[in-house]
Amino acid sequence: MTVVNDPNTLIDDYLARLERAAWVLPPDRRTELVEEVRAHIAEAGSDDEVSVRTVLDRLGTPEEIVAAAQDGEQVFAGGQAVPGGHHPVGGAAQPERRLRARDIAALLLLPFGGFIFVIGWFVGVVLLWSSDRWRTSEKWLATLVLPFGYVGVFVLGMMAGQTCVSGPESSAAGQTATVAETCSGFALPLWLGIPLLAVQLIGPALVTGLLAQRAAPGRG
Amino acid sequence: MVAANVFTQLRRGTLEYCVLALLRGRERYGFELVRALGDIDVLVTSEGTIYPLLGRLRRDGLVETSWQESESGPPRRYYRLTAAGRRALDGFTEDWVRFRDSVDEVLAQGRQDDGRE
Repeated sequence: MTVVNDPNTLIDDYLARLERAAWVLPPDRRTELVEEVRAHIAEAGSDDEVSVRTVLDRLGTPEEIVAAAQDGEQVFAGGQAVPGGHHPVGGAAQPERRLRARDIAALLLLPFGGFIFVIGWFVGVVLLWSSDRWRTSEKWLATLVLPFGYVGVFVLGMMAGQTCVSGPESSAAGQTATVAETCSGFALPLWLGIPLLAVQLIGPALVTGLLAQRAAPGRG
Repeated sequence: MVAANVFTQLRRGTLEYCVLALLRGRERYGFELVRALGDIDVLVTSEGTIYPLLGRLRRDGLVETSWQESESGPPRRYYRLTAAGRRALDGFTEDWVRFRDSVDEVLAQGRQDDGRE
């Protein structure tokens, strides 16, 4: 192992280590963190080995800094992450999974739970609101965009589905048979029904996709 | 070990407000802010870990940032307290005084009881 003495090499090595450690962070936060630390070192303006080492020592190890970014907690002496609410004591801070089984269940029950005697949808709503993976606005969106999920499509289908029975009817006078139509049900005009149906089909898929994408620990 | 843990635990709930407090009077750029905290006894042991904290405060809307030209180098990112940050700091200041007084009281009580034994 060679001993590094050149101040610039020390800094480059440190920043390279930071970048490697920071791969676990979302890309924008990783870039921001590395840039902040790079600026910090530049501001310190040290150009000899001893003072550069002091600056880097005061910063802490790259791993500590990344653990602080990951954990939502500060990291202090000893190079060990302060155990956050979800992390085992002394364990290396693992990024928490964005979607747990219960969150996936919520995302499935919201569009499809209505088919499980409607109650499935309510279970989905409870799972949604009790999860910390989404912001309140996203929870409202998921609850309100399509109450009961795809079951709504069927309700709409029934509303639009006019049942018409047509058949020959003999007139009272016994003259020419006329064709009469008897319709039951309540019809939506096509110009309203088709866009509404499209929204009902696409809406839950879009919202579910959005929620799956945005889910992250500690957002709501 | 236990003593070190006390500081660790105390910092967890208070350090972010120390950051806000340093920004109360004026805006500061990252290095300036981090060094100011680092120079105070027991507040920070690894200065680099302040940067993720600053990012969190910004995402939570308690501080805002702006880039400003520097005379001596590249532009600096300045941190400034927002109205929400000021409210959070005011709330904490009150709570902290209550909390500190209560702890002091209990510690004093303990010493008195000990003296009587």
